[in-house]
Amino acid sequence: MGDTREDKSMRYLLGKLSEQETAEFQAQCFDDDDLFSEMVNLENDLLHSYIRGEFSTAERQEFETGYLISPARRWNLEFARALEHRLFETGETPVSPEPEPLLTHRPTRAGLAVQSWPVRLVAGAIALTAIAAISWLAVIIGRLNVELGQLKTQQVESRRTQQELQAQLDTLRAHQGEGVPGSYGRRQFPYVQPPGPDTMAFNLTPGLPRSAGTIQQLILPSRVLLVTLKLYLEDDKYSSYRASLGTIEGKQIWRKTGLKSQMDSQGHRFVSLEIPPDILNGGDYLVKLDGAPQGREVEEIVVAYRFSIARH
Amino acid sequence: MAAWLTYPGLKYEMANLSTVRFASFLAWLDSDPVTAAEKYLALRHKLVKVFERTQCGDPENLADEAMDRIAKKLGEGAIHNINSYAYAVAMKISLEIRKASGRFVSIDHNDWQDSLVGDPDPEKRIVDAIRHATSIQCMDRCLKRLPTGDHELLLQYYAGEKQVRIQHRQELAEKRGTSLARLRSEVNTLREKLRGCVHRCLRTNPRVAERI
Repeated sequence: MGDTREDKSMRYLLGKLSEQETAEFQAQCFDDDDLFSEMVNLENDLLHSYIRGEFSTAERQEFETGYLISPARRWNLEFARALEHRLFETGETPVSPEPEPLLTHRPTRAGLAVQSWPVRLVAGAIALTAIAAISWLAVIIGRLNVELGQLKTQQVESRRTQQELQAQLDTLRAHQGEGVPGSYGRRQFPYVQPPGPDTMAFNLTPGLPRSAGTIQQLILPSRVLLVTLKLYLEDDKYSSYRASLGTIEGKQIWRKTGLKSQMDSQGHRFVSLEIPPDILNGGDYLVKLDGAPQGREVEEIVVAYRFSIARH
Repeated sequence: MAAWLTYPGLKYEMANLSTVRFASFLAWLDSDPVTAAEKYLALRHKLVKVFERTQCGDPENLADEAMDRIAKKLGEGAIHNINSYAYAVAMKISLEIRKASGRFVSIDHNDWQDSLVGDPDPEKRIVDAIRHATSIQCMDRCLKRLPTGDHELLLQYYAGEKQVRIQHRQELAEKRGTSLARLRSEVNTLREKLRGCVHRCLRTNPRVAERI
C-alpha cells in the first residue's frame, strides 16, 4: 500500500497523472493528512536530491519538465537551495581567523625562577625574540587577511563581469535568432534554453504554413544529445496523445504514444517530446499529434507542426 | 481591518478578514487556540500546494483568498466538510484566474517569447543571481530565529544520501521517541514555517522587490 501511495505522489509531483487523477489525488490530500504529509515530504526530498545531483540525467530531465512547471515551484527549488546551502555548506568559515593564542600559554613563574643572571639574560633575549616573532606573525596574518579580502572582492567582481558578458552573449544570440540574412528567407525559430548542457528545447506552435518563409527553422548543434520539442496546443481536450514524426515526403521516422499534456507558466498547454537528435538529419519535418479521449483508443488527428532542421 | 494570526514565531496577515470573523473561524476549527492555529496553517498549506501546481498567481495570496472565502461561508453555517469545501474553493479560484488570463498566444505575436518557460532573458538570470543571494540572507535571518533544537532537527532530517535517508530517519524517530509519520509531519510544519519566513523576508527586501 505504502509503495502505491508514494508512487502516486511521485506521479502527481512529476505531472504524470491525468487531469482527473490529479483532481482526485488533490482532493484525497485534503482529506488525508498523512497522504498530504507524505507527498510534501517526497516533494522536499526530490528538491534536495535535485540540488545534490543525486538524479540520473533522465530523472533530472523528468523533474525539470514535470515538476518545475510554475514560478512557485521554481521558488520552492530556490528555497531548498538556500536551505541546503545554509544547513550543509561548511566551506564558508569566518574570514578573519583569530591569531594563535600563543601568549595564553605562558610558562609558570616556577618555570622561569632561575637565579643566575646569564641565564636570565639569555631567557630575556629569547623572550624578546619570541615577542618580535609573534608581532611579525601578527603583521603577516593581518596582511594575509587583507589580501584574502581583496581576492574575495576580485572574485565577486569577476563573477559579476562573467555574468554580464554571458548576458551580452545571450542577447547577441537572441538577436541573431530573429532572422538573419542568408537564412533562405526562413524565420529562424528562437533558441529557447538548453535544459542541460547536452539538450536543446524548442517550442512549436501548430499549423502548416503555406509558404516557406513562415516555416519554423531549428538550428541544431552537432554536440546535442537530446532534443525536446514542446508542441503547443490550441485546444487540450484529450487525456493522452500520440506523436509521430516524419519527413515532409511522408516517411515516418519516430513515434511515441501515451503522452500527457502539460502547462507552461502562462497556463498554455503543450505536449513535450524528447527526440534523439541523430534521426534529425536536416531538412523539413512534420509532427502529427493524435488525441485519445479518456478510456478510448487514439482516434483523431489533433494538429500538425511543420519545422525545418539545420545542423551545424 | 486586517486580521492577524500569531503563531509561535510567525505572524500571518489575513487579507480581507475582520478580526471577529477570523476569531470565529479559528474557534470553529478547534476550541483550543493552539490546535486551531495548527489546523488553520495545515489547511492553508494544502491550498498553497494546489495553487503552486495550477500556476496561477501567487499561491500564498490565493491561499489567503481561499481561506477568506471559507471563513465567510462558515459564518453562514453552510459548510459540513471543510476539507472538501476548501478544495472546491481552490478549484473555483483556479478556474476564475485561468478564465481571466489569456488562453493562447500566437507565434506571430511579438511578445510570444516572453510567455514561454525557460526564457533566455539575461536580465532574468542576473535577477535570479541577486535573488539567490538575497534568499541566502533571508534564510540566515530566519534560521537564526529558530530554536537550536529545530535547526538541529532539520539538519539531521535532511542529512545523508538518498539511499540511507529512510533508515536514518527511522533511527532519528526512534531516538526522539516518536513515529516516522509524526517526525515527517513535524519537519514539514517546521519547514513550512521557515519557508513562510523566507518568503516574507524576500517580499520586504527592496533589492529584490524593485527588480521582480
